[in-house]
Amino acid sequence: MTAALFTARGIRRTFGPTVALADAEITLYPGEVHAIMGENGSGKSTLLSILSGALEPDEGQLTYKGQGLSRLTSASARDQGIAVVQQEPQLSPDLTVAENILLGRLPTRLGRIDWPRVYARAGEVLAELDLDLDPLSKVSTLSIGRRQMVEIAKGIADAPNVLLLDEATSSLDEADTNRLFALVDRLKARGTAIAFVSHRMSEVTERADRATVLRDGHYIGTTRIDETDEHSLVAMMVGRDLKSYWHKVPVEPGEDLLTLTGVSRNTLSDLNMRLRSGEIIGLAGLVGSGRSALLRTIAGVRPASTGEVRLNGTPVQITSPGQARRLGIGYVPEDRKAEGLVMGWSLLQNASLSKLGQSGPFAMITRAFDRAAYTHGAEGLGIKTHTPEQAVSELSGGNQQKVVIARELATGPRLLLLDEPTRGVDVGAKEDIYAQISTLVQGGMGLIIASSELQELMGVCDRILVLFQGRIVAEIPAAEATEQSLAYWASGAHEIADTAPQPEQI
Amino acid sequence: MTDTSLPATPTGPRLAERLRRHIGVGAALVILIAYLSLTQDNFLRYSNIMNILRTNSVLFVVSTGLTFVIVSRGLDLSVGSMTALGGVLLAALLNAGIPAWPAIGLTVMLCTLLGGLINGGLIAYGGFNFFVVTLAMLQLLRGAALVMSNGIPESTFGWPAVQWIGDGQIAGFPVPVLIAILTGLIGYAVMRWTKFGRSVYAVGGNETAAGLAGIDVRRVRFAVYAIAALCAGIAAVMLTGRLTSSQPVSGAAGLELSAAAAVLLGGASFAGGAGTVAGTAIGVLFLAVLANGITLAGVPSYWQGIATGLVLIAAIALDRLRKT
Repeated sequence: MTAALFTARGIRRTFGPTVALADAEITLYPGEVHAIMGENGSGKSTLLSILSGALEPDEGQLTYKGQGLSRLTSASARDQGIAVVQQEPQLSPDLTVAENILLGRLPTRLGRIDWPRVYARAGEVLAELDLDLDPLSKVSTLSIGRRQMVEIAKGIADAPNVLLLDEATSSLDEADTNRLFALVDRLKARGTAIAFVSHRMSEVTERADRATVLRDGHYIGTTRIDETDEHSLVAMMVGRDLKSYWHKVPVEPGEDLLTLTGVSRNTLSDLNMRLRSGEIIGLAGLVGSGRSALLRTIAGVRPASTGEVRLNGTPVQITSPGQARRLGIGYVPEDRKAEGLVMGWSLLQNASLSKLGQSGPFAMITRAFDRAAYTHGAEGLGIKTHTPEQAVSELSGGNQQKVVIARELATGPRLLLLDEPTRGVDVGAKEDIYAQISTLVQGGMGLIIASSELQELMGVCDRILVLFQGRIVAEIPAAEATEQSLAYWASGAHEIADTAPQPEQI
Repeated sequence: MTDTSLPATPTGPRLAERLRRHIGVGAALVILIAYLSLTQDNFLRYSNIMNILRTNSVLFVVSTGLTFVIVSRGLDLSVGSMTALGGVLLAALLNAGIPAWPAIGLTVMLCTLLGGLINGGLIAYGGFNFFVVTLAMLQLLRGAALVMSNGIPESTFGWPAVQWIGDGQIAGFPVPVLIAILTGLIGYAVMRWTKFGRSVYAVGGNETAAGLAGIDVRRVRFAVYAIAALCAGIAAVMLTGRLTSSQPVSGAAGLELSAAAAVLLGGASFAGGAGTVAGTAIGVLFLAVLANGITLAGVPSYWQGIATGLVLIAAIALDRLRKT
């Protein structure tokens, strides 16, 4: 192998009493795609921040092109060809796409900004990303996914030698993710070293050449992807062997739990589905395809305008989330921080939030009420906290997600709707959630899970419905589904193609 | 440690949390009281203490209602004007020949209805900004009080029941103070132990999450403005009784701001989701003792505003300091 391009050794970084990194190391070679892996809190993002110059290490050595680097800053990193793409787009919403891409290095002519060159250069960068975006449009008019693509364009505008991606795909849909990785392939061919942090195992196994695993701020090891598999990687990350990651067990489906017949409301049209107890249906689709909208309709947030919803065979009108809870429908929304939790509250108080809607107007809401909700709802979820009196804001993402799920389970639902149940959740907590899902269906609950992680849908669900522009375009048994077939239907390729790649039952 | 069991002594952190929340202003109140006891001979007299409580019972009742609104992440600027209008309404009803007790009940009901329907209706169901709506109502209700009365105070001297509420005594204890204590206890219990109270905290803490979890956010918002108006209506009767007349021009002027200051001093914040009626009681007492101390020390009462403002800034600075 050629000489290393960028290495970090013995990196230590603390934040007050917290040791984020104890002894991290990584070596990046030109023309390689390198995944940085670890559970939440393992120090991945801190390491990336140190590589990008955003954070200074307390101890340790950075070597770039054979030279020791001292006092790397964000600006000097960029000057030396080290570019970073953040998880959250760091853009100025009132400026145009072009201005954002070239911000801080707008080409000038006679001291004035050379606008023709700005737009030409921005256009080139967008073309390199195969992105159909007007360089003149304002960033504030773009969706989150599009903004993330602009953030990526910003990162590659200087033709970097090292590109660092911090969970760059977490808000991207399948198509944009593919664009990003097509770009990664081209950069790799040019000799760029790419390091990325991702929670999606399939991205790592399909895209990376090597992976470095961190656990609790320690360097665990670096391995070639073609010499390992998902299970070994997960085992490295969590520090133990995992028998069966998805906890899938065959369950004999029972009675019809939920049926939708011709359900429509503005963006959703003519949806039909049937869920039996003990069954798990997965909803796949791009961002905006209607998978979240469908869950919201069943949860009573946005009631259906036409069509029939039957619960246990009885037609019902679900007009509010409170009513949905009383009917035995639990709903875990997509964004746990904005839509799920009251961040200033303790675990106990959050645990009883949904149960509140089930109790009568004169019910006494005492600590016993909260405790009962928590004890009942959190059972088996493995929430890690030294006391349930702790504020949820102090918990990790995985534990916060478990609290939202516990809150719904406290209401004793027969049908549970989960929207992105494991987004931004570490592997250990993901597994706990999968195990709980397994326990629930064995107890006869029915679940509908919307997720952008296709591996997760295929691993956990019995059947997968694919949505495209508010319609259900395919129904595929999970055992027969592949990432390719799901992506085919989700992208709307069937609208253009004359023949489907494989016969599906619609 | 993957347990869902509960620790043996769960009150520990909660108690500490509550202490932390109230200790700032509570401690300042204790120090202020200690200082005044040592330097002002008259301060600890029964008559002085009762005077402090009596004159501030109106402020406390209004502040209790406002606590609900601020915890729900709102604000009601119209409570002072509502109190003034309530007084005018009561005087008008009495002078129209309606007996005292029905007139008192009617006054409180009318205030609740007005505040609930207009403030609560527009904010909760109309989606209007609370600041704009209640600022408009501050003007509108005060204007209505002036129009109804032509700006002239009307005596309620002939109705002993009204006087009794504002200035009477039960076994030597002032009735308005009893009303304030009762209102505070009910308010505290409702916020602490009822489904509605918890919903107010949830809506203030994270409106979206509360709604998705099944809480009827609009109904909660509607109710808090009705409660603020209800408390203003009760305060109107108390104030009218104490002054033995309605005061459309000067009555309850600036009351909404004093009440907001008391609620904020008591640990609530405009960010919503935090605050208790107990904290508000400490806030009211602090402002009351401070004003009393200024008077006893012979400092011109004009200084009171400056002192209140400084205390409020200090309290909020302290709060920020503790949080970081």
